[in-house]
Amino acid sequence: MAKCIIDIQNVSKVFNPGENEVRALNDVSLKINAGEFVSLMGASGSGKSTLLNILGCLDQPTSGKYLLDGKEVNGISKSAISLIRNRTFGFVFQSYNLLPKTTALENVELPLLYNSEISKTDRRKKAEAALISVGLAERIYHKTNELSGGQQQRVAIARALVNEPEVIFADEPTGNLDSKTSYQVMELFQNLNDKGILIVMVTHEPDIVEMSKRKIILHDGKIIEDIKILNPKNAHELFLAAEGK
Amino acid sequence: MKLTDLISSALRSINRNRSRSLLTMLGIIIGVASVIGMLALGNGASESIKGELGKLGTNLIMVRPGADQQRGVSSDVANAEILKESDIQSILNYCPTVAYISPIVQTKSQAVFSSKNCRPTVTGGYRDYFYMNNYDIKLGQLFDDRTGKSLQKVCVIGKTVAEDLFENEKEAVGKIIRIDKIPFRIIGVLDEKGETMGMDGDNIIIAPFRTVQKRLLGLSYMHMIHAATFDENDVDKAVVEIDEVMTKVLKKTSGGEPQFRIATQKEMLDVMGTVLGMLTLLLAAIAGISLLVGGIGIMNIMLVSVTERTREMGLRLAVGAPSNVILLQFLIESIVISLIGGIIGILLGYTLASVGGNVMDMTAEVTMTSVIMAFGFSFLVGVIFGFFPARKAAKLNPIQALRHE
Ligand SMILES: Nc1ncnc2c1ncn2[C@@H]1O[C@H](COP(=O)(O)OP(=O)(O)O)[C@@H](O)[C@H]1O
Ligand SMILES: [Mg+2]
Repeated sequence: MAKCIIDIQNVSKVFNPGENEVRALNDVSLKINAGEFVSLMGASGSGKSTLLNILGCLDQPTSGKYLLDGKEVNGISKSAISLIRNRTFGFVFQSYNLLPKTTALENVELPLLYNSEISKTDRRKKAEAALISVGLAERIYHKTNELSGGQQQRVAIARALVNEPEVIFADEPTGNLDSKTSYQVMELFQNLNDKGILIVMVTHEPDIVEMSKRKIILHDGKIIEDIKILNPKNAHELFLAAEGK
Repeated sequence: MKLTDLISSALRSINRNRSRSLLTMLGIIIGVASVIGMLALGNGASESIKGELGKLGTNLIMVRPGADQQRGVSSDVANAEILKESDIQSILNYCPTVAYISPIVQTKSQAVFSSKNCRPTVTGGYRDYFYMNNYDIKLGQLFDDRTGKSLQKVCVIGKTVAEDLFENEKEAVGKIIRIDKIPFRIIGVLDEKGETMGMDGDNIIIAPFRTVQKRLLGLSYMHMIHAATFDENDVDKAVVEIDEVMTKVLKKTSGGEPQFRIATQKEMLDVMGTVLGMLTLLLAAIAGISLLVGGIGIMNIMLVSVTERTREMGLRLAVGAPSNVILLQFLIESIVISLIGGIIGILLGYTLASVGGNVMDMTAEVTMTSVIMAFGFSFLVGVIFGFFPARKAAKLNPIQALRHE
């Protein structure tokens, strides 16, 4: 039995308490084990991003418990949370959130800047390697505003990978990509998952979900379905098929 | 994060947000440069005017005919036949603090030597006149005795007159020149006095009092009396003494209310001092306003960029930067910008002072206080307004900061 990494119990998130109250998550409980590849699905506004942000320790629940690797997140110090965000987690935002007027390389170096174990030269090597792994070898020194949406998305993914995290959270990582590029990104995730990295991904595309190992569907802030995908599709094969080979 | 990393990241951030950084620096540069430049020019102007006034002799007391202005006498006071040479003796007898004294008559006359001529101010006075007004002899000598031998036709000339009438001022001594057709022998040439408040202090001829009074002007009275004390602190006492004596003497001779005025160089200096103080204050006020304008500029730019900075903060938090490290980054960035702006401002202030000083022909010295004050203020404004938005953002969680609008 794989180790339980993420364990949330009766988590709710309420925005604007009082007047225009929005209950984005309503009493959600969920366990995710090491090595899983989870897709979060659901209609727009169902609470997917909110849940992912909480799981990624970027936001706090209004109520409920979050046990990360058995430890309650609420009791962890601020600096320890920073360390978790920096080393254990990698986060890919829906809107990329790249630093403007900055090269792809500098963006990917950003998390390493806060990792004092990594020297300046290593920082550069690792960032370059991460960019190459997402297929941006030719764009390392381009400014982010000179890149297409898909390329920016891949810079964001490289940034999430660069510190070799144990968990990757990705909010609609293929949302702005054509299907071929989507398959490439999914292939990347599958490879990472094969190496034992836990992946939690938000998506609303059914064919993308089929490449993960577990599907969770949210509706109005509640989990309404949670099923195992028995035979996940291989992204590499789908990519080759799309290439027409 | 190492310090070198912090600084290089600050420099990169400054470079990335070039226009924001430049505008902030501009605010600091304007504030610092204007304060330093203005105060230097103000001080320079006031020092140079003080210096000019100082040339006039600080112990000088002037007695002139004519009533106080309040009484509304506006006749040709200089020619009022009030002051007589005998008054000099009365003052010497009864005013113990008066050390030097000279009656004075003055006129503008034509001076001619061979084919050359000029139009200097001709003053008749005693030998003390030179001492009281800080005239030093350069060539030749002064009058033989205190009053100048009665009706002796000798004179001492200023540098301008010497230059106007002779090829070389060394030739002048011993030559006979004609002043209003009367021949005078030059016995000395004075040291250069320079310009005083726009007037050529060297376009002068000084001759014994009675010679000018009787021979040149044909007068029985004098235009004014110059007196001086040994010690600057005795001036006020001397004024009281002179006033007493003159009142008594003039009552006896003319009957009725005596009409004369006493003025001192010190009074004039004091008045000028007040005016100059106001000038400096005015410049300081203008400088203060530029500092404020610069400060408001800095504030505006920093506040306008809050959203941008808050989002950047959110991103850095999200990738695992501890908030105190990000704060340090933002702080260093603000410090670097303010430092660079401040240094440029100081250099510009110095340039402004030296260029302005050259144009206005004076030494505008930059004072350390103005540098420290201007730099300190702008530096603080730059750092505080660069840093505080970041501090506020550091309290948000990453998602709140990233969503900031
Ligand atoms: N910061 C916020 N303030 C107020 N309401 C929010 C905020 N973030 C999300 N919401 C609301 O919470 C609900 C869930 O949002 P979200 O988790 O982003 O949905 P999605 O499933 O589309 O990712 C939506 O109704 C959204 O409007
Ligand atoms: Mg979403």
